Amino acid sequence: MNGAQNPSTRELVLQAAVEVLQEVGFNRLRTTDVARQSGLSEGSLFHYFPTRNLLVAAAVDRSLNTALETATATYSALEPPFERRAMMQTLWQLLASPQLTWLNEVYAAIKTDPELRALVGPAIDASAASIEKFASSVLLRVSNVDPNDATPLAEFLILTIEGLVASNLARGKTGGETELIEHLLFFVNTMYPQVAAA
Amino acid sequence: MNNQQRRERSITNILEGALQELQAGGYHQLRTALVAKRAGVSEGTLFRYFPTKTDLIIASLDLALKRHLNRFEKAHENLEQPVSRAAMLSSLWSIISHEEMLWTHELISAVSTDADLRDAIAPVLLAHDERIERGLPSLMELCGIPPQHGEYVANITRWAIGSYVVRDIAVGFTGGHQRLLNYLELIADRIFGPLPAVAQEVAE
Repeated sequence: MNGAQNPSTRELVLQAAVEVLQEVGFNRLRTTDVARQSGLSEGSLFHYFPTRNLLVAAAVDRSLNTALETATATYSALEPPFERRAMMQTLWQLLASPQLTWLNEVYAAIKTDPELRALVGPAIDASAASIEKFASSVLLRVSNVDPNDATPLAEFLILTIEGLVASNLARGKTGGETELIEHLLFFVNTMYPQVAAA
Repeated sequence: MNNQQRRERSITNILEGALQELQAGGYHQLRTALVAKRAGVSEGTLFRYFPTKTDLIIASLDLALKRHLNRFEKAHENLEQPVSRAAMLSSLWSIISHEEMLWTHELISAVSTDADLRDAIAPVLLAHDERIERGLPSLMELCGIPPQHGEYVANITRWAIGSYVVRDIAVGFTGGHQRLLNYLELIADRIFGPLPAVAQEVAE
């Protein structure tokens, strides 16, 4: 994005859509609310995003990219020595972030909405691959994880964390991540003893 | 047949119809007219027993979870002794990804931004958690995972499989589940060592 300029109108609509989606979710998203949130008319909204699905698809793409950029930035800012606990926390923050949790509703919807599926499928596939790549590169950086295990280990950690996040959200519970992270650390440390810092 | 029996039969038929519809299309597109048709009742009758779609979803979830628990508590019986970790994990996989459960995983993962539905289903989920949490560690102990880790290994397995199933549905990944099961088995083997002596002797 060109930082020197004001955000374009399209950008305003997209930001508003992401905010509304995080707030009320996909099923209850109304383009009138997005228009109101962005301070524009519904007419201008439809000029940039002719259908609700096109707006959602752009919001999915935006949310996935933002979440991954934030996680990458957080991780890059960590100082060596890199700790496994910090790595797990970064992963937790990424997967539990409101930027990503609203997408679960979209995953449910695309099963019965082929048009939406065609629009968002490629972005979801690409981002699942990027998140896995991010996680396995982080794992390799925290030393002594067998490179052959990095991908399955990353997949396992992502699924486990996503599972607890969804399970908590559905039950109206919060927390539990400290315990989960300690236990995952126990598993990872037992499987791959840490090399002492040089 | 008296009124009470008629009432019970209608409710049973409606819930069976709802489960079939939910399995076919997910909670997202549940249509009461189709449920009533499957159940052989009028939509008016359906609404008398389940005034809102949310009421119907909750009752269906409750029924699906009860059946899930029954399958789960019978898992021990169907496992051949000695129980290998691969067999235990596969059995958990097939119970959690049973076709009657798919829509519930989808519902659970999707309600995070649907506050009304979430508030409605949370008590149903919590009511079943206890039996699951009681049963899982004993399944783990069968294949040499000590009780102090049993609950966590069990939950981690459950969460990982649950989210895999959701992703599988959404993105159309297939075949990856064997990779996940192999990895879970690898973790358990490396951390908890070989299987208990009984299992070893028979294997030799």
